[in-house]
Amino acid sequence: MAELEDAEDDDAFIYGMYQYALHIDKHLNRAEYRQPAMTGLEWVQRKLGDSKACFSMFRMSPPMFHRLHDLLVQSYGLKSSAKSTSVEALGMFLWMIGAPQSFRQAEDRFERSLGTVSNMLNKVLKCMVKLAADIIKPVDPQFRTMHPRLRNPRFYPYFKDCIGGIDGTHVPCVVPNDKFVQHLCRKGMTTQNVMAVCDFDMRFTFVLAGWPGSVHDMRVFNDGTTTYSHVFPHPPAGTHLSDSTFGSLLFNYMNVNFFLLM
Amino acid sequence: MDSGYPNRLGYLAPYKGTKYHLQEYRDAPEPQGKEETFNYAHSCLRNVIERSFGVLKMRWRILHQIPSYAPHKQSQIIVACCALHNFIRISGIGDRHFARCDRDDNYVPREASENQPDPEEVEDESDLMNEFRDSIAYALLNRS
Repeated sequence: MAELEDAEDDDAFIYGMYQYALHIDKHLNRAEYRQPAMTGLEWVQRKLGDSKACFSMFRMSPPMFHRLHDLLVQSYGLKSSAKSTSVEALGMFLWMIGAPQSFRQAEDRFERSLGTVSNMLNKVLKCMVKLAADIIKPVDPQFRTMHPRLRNPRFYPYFKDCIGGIDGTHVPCVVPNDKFVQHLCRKGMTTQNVMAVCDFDMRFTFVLAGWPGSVHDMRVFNDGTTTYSHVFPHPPAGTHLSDSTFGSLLFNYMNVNFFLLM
Repeated sequence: MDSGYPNRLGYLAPYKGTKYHLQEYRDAPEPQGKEETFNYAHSCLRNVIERSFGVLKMRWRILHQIPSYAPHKQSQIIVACCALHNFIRISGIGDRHFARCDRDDNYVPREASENQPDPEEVEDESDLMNEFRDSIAYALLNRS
């Protein structure tokens, strides 16, 4: 009986030592702190000082960068953390989607661990999605004004009620093996089929991403107009389908806005 | 060129089986007949979306090949790029990609031109929209 208890004590002791070793390995045996010659923030600020370099790295001019930064901080909850500032996080995000650059390259450039890079990227991405909800929509949901381009005699008055164009595009992306076939587009790449609506000022008023590349444009279109009908910039319709004679239908129809399709 | 989307109520598609893209008209004689005339005008107007895609992809080059992020992250990145595109457009601060487009109404960035419409047939044509399209086409053809 006493022997059995000894054996149990031994097991407990060994287990304890094992846990201790794990603890040391995890918390005390870490890589040395980085001692960068230039921190990520310094690098971003240096690029912001040179408008040409700024455009190459962040795909926008320095005033644009600062305005975007201020907007994200004021309205969309972008914050500096104890470790990294919001300017550095935004710079890293733009650099990674504009250049584009991988996580490994960001790790090296910004002298940050992969985990930190990922956190910073996600933080900015979250703000961007919030911004998108506010900024990707028609300027005037009633479409009361006609765009100056339509005043051109080539188009006026035939297209005067037109409010924008709609089209799909394929965005190549890397997908896991089990999703390979459904993302395969007709060109043999794995893509997403993205549908967008835009007005005559080249602003997007609706974007639908997420459909795999093998799906037909029509299905994406149907999804956009039905599932997202509350945000889809429909031409304001309704009155034109009155049950009257054909002549007046057409006449009424002329007052209804429409899109151009691909 | 065939069209991927049908002529639906409120949505006006080009005539199918007729020249459509601007490039096809560039080296050709004047558009002939109501279909070509209409498609030419339609194409000139609709190129705004192609230009937008072009500027979008030219600026945010991650859209040429999104790395293996989680699927919902990939979609979010696409939407984020579009949001930034709008932000830059609305900001009123000059931008060289947009400036190039504003200088020339027919300029379409190279990145956009890889799009080929689907050859598949589409259903659900709206007679009303087809009539409407014909009325525009005849009006275009008969203007002085």
